[in-house]
Amino acid sequence: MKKGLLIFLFFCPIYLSWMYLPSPIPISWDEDDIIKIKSLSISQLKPLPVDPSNSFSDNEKAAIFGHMLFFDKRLSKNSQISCASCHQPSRMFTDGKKIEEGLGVGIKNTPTIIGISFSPWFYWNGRKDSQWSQALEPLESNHEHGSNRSLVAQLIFEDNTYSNLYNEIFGNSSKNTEVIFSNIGKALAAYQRKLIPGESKFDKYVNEISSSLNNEDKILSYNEKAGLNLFINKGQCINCHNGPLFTNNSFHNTGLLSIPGQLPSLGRVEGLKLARLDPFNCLGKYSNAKKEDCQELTYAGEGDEFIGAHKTPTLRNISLTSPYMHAGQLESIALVIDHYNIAPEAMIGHNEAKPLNLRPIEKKQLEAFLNTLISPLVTEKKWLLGLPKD
Amino acid sequence: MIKKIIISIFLFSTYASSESIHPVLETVSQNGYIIKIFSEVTPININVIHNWSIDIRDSKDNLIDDLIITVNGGMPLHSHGLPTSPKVVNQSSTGSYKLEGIKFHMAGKWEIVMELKKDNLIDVAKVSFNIR
Repeated sequence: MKKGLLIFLFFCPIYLSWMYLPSPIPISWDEDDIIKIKSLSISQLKPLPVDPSNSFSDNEKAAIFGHMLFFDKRLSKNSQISCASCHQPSRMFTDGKKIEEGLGVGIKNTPTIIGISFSPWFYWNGRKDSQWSQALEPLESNHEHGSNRSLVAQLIFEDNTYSNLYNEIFGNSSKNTEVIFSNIGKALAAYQRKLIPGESKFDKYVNEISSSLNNEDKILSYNEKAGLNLFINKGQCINCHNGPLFTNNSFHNTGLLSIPGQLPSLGRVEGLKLARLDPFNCLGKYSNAKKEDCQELTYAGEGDEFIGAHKTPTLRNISLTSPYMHAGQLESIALVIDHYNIAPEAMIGHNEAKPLNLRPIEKKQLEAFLNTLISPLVTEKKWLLGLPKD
Repeated sequence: MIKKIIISIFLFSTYASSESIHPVLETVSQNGYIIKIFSEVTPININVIHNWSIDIRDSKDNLIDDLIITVNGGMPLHSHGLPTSPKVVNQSSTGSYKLEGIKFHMAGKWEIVMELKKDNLIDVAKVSFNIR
């Protein structure tokens, strides 16, 4: 009995230290680690690719027009809702709510739109294949702006500033409502392409590694570095959250529960079906792309593995954009990490993720690393504010 | 059902595979065709759609044309397939084929599995490779 107690007293502190205290061993990176770490740096972000489906994607006047529209509440049925109502600049272009709320309550969480112009797919289920076509849907959605394309077109031509800008950018040859509506989307996209994340604490750390290779920097704490190590190795987060925006912009089923009272979301399976039917898609008549430019839509992946799959979100600014997941199911980063640590069976389809078996201290370290990804925008301040009349 | 499983095991145990990070991957199909397959862009960047070329010859170095090729693949360790549905097109009479619309969305070990059909005969080949 006494012997048993002694063994317990000996091993108990060792076990507790193992579970809850950081390892005393310093962290060093091998060549493979350095490659992975550098691949995540914002310095690796390539120039924003041209959107062939939107001839006005990099037109400065279209961006100015889109900026005005983004903050204009008149684009809603009750003149109370603008794009910025849910995509709030002060919240890294999210709304802080579990589920989107405009004229009514929707069914999905509002994702950030910072850096999203790099994605070939939009919405959690990828039902839109361009930023301009995405921008159209909320205008007509009953629980968002609740307006319609005719009212939007009417507003443009009743407002002298808007009609002048519109004619200057798009010409006045077509009075077709769908053409005007699609051009509104193209202007909104031109504006949103300005929203690009800048350097975070993590990126400064990568710069330090690149400059000295001696790991003597003081930028990240031990726990933050340990979290980075978990992110790129044991935690396997980098598999999906890869590249300088920490997303592969692809679709994965990670075994999330549906929100109470709702059926599980079919995810990408439904999204792709809708994208193919969308008259405003890359192959449609309102797109400026040639058929060969529409590779993402032409070769989109399909099959059972996309059942319940949702788009990988960026992790930049993750600590400022709670709650998380496609329906805001998880309120904190700690809960997200717990979810991946367990990797439960999927309600529908199959969960690609496998249990991570992280110890409590490792979960804390991973969270500490994710908190280093606050990336203030490099966008000029004028684009982040509404217009004086708002 | 059992017959199906036995056939599947046979197919997957007899085709050859190669593991390489070289630009040209070479493998031998179940029926002995020599297949060279390579990306038209190097290095292969993740998350970018691109094309590959496929060259198929028999053991006497004759080019094999008029095959109907379907391509699948994925990351067996992660239990998922390709993020896109690539298609083999431009099937000319030169034994050269073009695989369009392939994309890899993660670093790690990938497989490309080719099913080659001609005159109701089905042949299978596979290549494995790493993307960093």
